[in-house]
Amino acid sequence: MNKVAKESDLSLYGFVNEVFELTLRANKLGVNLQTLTDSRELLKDARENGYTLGLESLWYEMADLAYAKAKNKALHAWFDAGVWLAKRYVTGEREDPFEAFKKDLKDFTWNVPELDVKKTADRVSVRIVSPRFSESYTLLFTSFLEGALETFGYKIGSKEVSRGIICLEAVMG
Amino acid sequence: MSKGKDKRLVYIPGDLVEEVKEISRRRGESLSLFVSEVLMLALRANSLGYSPKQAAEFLEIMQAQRNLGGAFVPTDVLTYLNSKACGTEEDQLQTKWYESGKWHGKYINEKFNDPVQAFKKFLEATRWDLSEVEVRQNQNSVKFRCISTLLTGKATELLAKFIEGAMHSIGYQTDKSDALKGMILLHFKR
Repeated sequence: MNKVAKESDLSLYGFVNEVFELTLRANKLGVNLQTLTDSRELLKDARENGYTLGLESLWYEMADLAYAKAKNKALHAWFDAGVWLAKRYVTGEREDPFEAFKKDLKDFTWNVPELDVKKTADRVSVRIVSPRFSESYTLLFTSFLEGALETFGYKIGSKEVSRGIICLEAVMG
Repeated sequence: MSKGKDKRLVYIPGDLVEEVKEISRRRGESLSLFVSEVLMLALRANSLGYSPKQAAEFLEIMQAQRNLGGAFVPTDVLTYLNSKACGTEEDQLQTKWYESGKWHGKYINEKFNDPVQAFKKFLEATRWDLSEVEVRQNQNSVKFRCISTLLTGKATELLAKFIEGAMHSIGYQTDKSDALKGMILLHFKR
């Protein structure tokens, strides 16, 4: 710690004081210091996996506009984005690409209150509940998931989609 | 703190200790265990390139981003939504980005003591498509310079609108605006 303090041009006393102040600030925000490393890791993963962070209201509004103008093109673009992202996992060197995709999907949808992905031997079910999703965003996000699941080798068996709710069942093959 | 028995004495202001003591008590941890954990996390943050002050700023920015309704979107999708291919009128898109920036700026203005610097840090932390974010701030003017090798021409213009919206909410007016592919130069006056 002495070394780190010196590198930061601080005395050990000054460094520890700053750490205590940081702890108090984090506590005020309702988080702890672990959140720092977690958030940093999340941003790094998002960057490496081809995601962009912004305001969800803007994404929804833009999606609404695009969907209203050219529904099929928009659905196609989201489907392709799902294919592209899933391909990264399929062709990468991860031990279990689907598990990695599932974990990242959960991490990168921090704004979605309910996201449940279950995988059995040859089936995958996805259930998403997000009251803030607009109708078009729900449909576009479904298309994104379909693209990803198909790239993992699944065929969509059943699909129930309504504003803010997505339920997909897919079978391997 | 090492796992060994070697212990050191560091003087800390009493009021700071009292507050930290209170947090550890609420978490049901002893003060010494809590302090050890905190210091270890601080060392970890340091290895990620954050001094305690920078770590605190980063935490605040990330928390603000969550409170504002931050969400991830696949970059390909965003590129499509920003492009002519999706058929959305250019001025409609610009208005959306501008309004979103205004909303963002309003929040930052309320939340942070130095909203301009907070906004800069927000851009640095969350817009990883920007390789450079430079802000020169005088008493009554602010100059923004953002560089990206990844942004398309359209995406650059829209991000410039977002920045303008935010700065207008913070209390500045656009004096000069220039957005070329991958480069944003904006001058604001109070």
